[in-house]
Amino acid sequence: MTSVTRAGHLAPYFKATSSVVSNGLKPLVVAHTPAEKVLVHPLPKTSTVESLHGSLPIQGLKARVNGRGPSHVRFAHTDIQYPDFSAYRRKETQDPTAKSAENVDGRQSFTYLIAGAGGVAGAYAAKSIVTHFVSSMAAAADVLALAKIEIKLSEIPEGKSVTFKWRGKPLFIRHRTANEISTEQAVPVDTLRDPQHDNQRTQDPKWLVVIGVCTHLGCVPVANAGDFGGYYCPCHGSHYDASGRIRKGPAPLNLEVPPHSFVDESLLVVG
Amino acid sequence: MAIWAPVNRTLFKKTSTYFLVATLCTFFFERGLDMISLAIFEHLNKNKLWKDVKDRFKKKEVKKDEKTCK
Repeated sequence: MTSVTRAGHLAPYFKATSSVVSNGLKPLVVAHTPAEKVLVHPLPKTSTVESLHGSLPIQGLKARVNGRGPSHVRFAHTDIQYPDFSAYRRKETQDPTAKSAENVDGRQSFTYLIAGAGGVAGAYAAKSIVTHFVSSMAAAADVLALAKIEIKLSEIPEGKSVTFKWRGKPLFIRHRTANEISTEQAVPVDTLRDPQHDNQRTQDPKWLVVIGVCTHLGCVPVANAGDFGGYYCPCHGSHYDASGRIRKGPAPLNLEVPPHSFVDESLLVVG
Repeated sequence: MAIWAPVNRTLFKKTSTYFLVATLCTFFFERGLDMISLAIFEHLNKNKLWKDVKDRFKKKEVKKDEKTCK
């Protein structure tokens, strides 16, 4: 009840609009027009980031419109001071009339050269690191040096096959007779299971150097045995000829020829 | 700038040619750096390397061989 009696005082504040449009008749009621007052909240003092943020026109509307007086917010844009970055800008771009295409090469040179030099150095470093780690997987030089053996050929009589140990495997060195050489040279290559001519397997036809491991299942063949006068594997009956080539039996490949070289007439290095 | 501008346009503008140039330069850079560093190392270790002292030892070896042959 009290609110109804007090409504008369509050009436101007509840009004949505306070202007009256005349309809030509005498107004029945003289509207109460409150004094013109500032509709806009005063801008806060921009001393902190938050107060500066609050002054931006991105917040909720701060002005109430009642149809009279200014209702827009005007932010000054002619008297705002903004920083001058010309000290940090490139000289070529400071002139707004200059075409950027004409000075782009000069501006890019430093960036491109530094990036390119960095790329070159990086590629070199990457290659060095990769080479370092990959080469660490290879056998060391001392191991490789020990993995060579020297054989005095003058101690092997003609027609004899001698067995040495080389890198944990038996190594056959055969001093072939002229008869054996001519026989092996004459074998037609296309009749062989693993076609290799005798010249491909020997550097000096007098000397045959093969690894004495049967290519079938890895037994050690017996020298000067078998149907072809070379080697014979007793495990499953593979016959190799005097050039170490498979001629009969289950083995698929010829006896392996290791890398070897003749230092002089009487010295052979295998490995 | 007269030299730089066409180089920039033809080689450095495209990423593909830029990488190609960098890769090619790496070969020369590697060779040059290796040679320079080796030269510095050999200069610092002068008279200590095998190639500097080789002659002193070679004579002895030859003498030894002669002895064994005799």
